[in-house]
Amino acid sequence: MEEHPAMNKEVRYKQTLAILSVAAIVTVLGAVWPVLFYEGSAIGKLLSRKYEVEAVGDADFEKAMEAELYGGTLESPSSSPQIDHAGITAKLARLRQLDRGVAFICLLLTVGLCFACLKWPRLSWLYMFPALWLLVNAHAIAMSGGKAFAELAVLGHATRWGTLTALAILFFRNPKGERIANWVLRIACSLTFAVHGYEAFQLNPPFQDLLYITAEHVGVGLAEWFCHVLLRIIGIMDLLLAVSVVTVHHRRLLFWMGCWGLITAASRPIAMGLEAWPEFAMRLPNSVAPLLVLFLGSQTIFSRSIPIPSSKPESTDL
Amino acid sequence: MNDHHTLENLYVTMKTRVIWMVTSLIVCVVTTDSAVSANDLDLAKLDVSTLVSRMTPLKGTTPAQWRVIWTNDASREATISWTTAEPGKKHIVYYGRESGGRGGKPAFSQECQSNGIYSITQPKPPKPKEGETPEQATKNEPPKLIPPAYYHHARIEQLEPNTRYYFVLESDGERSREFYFLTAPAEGTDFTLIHGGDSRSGHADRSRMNLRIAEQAKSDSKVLAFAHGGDYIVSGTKWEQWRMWLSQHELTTLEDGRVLPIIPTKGNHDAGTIYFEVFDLEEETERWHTTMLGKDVALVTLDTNSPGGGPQADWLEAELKRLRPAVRWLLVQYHRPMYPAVKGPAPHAPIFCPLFDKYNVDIALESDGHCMKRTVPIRNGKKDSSGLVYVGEGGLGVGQRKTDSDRWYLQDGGRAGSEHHVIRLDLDPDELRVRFILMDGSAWDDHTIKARNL
Repeated sequence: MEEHPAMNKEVRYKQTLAILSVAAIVTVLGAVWPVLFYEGSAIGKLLSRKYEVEAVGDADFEKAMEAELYGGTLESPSSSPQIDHAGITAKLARLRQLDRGVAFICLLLTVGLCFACLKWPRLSWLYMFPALWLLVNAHAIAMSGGKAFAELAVLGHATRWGTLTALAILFFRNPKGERIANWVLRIACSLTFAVHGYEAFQLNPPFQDLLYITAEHVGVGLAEWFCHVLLRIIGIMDLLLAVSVVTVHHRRLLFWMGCWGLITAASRPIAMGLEAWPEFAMRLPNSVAPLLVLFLGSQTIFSRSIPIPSSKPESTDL
Repeated sequence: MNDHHTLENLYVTMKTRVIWMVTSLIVCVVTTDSAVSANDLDLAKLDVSTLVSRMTPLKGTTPAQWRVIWTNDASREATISWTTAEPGKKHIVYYGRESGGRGGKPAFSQECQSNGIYSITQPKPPKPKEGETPEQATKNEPPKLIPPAYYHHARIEQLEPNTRYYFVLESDGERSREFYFLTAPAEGTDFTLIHGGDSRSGHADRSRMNLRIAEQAKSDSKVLAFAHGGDYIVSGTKWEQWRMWLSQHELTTLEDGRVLPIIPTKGNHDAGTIYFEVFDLEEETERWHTTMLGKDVALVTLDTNSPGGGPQADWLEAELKRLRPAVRWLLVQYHRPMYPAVKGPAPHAPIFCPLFDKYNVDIALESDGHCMKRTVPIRNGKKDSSGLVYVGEGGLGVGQRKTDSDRWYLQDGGRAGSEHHVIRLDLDPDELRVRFILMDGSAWDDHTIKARNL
């Protein structure tokens, strides 16, 4: 006896969303882990620094000093700021707790929604919170600087917040939403691959080290010129993939994008050891997003317009 | 009878005086010995005017923002650098072993080999409001342009080791007061280094820490140089931040004119070309370097902004291989920590650490984490008494972060904390004493590393 195609699609729909939800959990876990156990989130650090600079009255001190040393009309304060170090430390500790709390809530939300949305799909909008958190953190990285190409973080992290955004939309199961999710993912993939391609072409130092260390692991000493050539080729490939994902729907290219995203994400723990697993986890969308584009383009499984079989399939309305 | 009483009184008086003298002597010795823990400066009360009075305004061709830079042979070479607000035409440093005296100048002279304008990025013009042209917007709300500034570097060679060199800076006839610095000894290890990093924010605290560094040198003439672990400022491409750092660096100069040579390291916030302009380094070839402090001590400076692999790894291996049999103390410094107390490890760790282990580096000086830490000795990623100790991680003004003391390398002998600090390294042939000196002058940690029997 043959299964009804709508039943097949329903099963595939549930399976796809389950895989996507797990991917979302892994991504958020990768991003949350360093916040809980290491230095905190980018936005947490940025806010802490801003608070601290304000609390110690550094801006006034700096302005007064500038006026005296490099010319200006500013009145200098009569004394240096009286700093309440204990108060500042306590406030910073509270900020740190808040930072951890927000990160933990994002993780809980992502895990909880994985189950809740199967029963109450409308709750999927709550996926926007972890998506927003990832976006805000990317923006904070760009504002903080201190890393090569930090200013491109919002675009470079597009697959992370883009995948969660797409997931929020996909649970609604309507053709329009599916189209929007598809385009969110395609644009996110394009942005991430374009930024990574640009960084590779510009020989971003951490990328070079990934190649050097990985080569070392397999007993190959990589010459500098070869490393540079390799990175430039990778850069061009990434840029071409970035263009292709928004211009054509080529199954093989999308499949390769997914594989390449997985390879580059895995290169972190390969080079740095298993402790670097969060680096892999938070980059998982670089692989998942193009594969989802591939899937969304070839199947229409998320739309409610597809009938769910009943005991009398012929009586089902479209 | 009276004579007897007089003698007895005299005896009592003498005894009291002797007790006083002995007590005073003990107090004096104790005080001298714990000079670093004396609360000799009330830094918190220093106001802007007092601090600024010890700095030189950037005006005309008045030499300001002086520094002595060591990147190669500290016994025989130094680069003396300064800044002027106007380009000027002739920039000379007068130097010599004899002071030029009041108003005079030392005997030798060296014209600056490198002069130029610092790379300055001007603020963007204001956005025009509705109905306003860009020209009108600029006219109505003119952006505060950053005035240009000019660097001058005089590279001096063939100096005598272990010698006091006086110097006077001159730009178009405008002279600085007389300064001096000490060259490193030709051999031996009887000196002290100061290491610190992360002065990128916290201007008031940065100024105070600079005074603390000066105080260290004042209280102990063995202090030879100051190694900076990087992150001088927040945005490396902003001259307005660098000029403030440079002016405040003047505070490390002692009142008697002694300048502590600086051994620079590039931090992740020191992006752009100004770092190289400030420290007279070639961007392509001098991102990493070895400073020889005599023939027995080497400080290898690495760059954690550049790839650890490839040319840097090749250079490091060759350098450690060459240096290890030749020196008593082999030190390394770089910005991002390999065994951090706050963040995750630098991606350079899998490349650098095996080389440090292989060539038995004695100590690694780290920054970037904004905290204090001393690890247990580590070899091959494990606690090992024959391994090297990693210390750091930057507290020259920047706000301090909470550490994760649960990490294995910070337990059972390792330590971590959060306060502004500099690290004082007292070297001798058998031991390297490592002390974390806090802003109030007290020591947070006092640890001794035995010299290796190689």
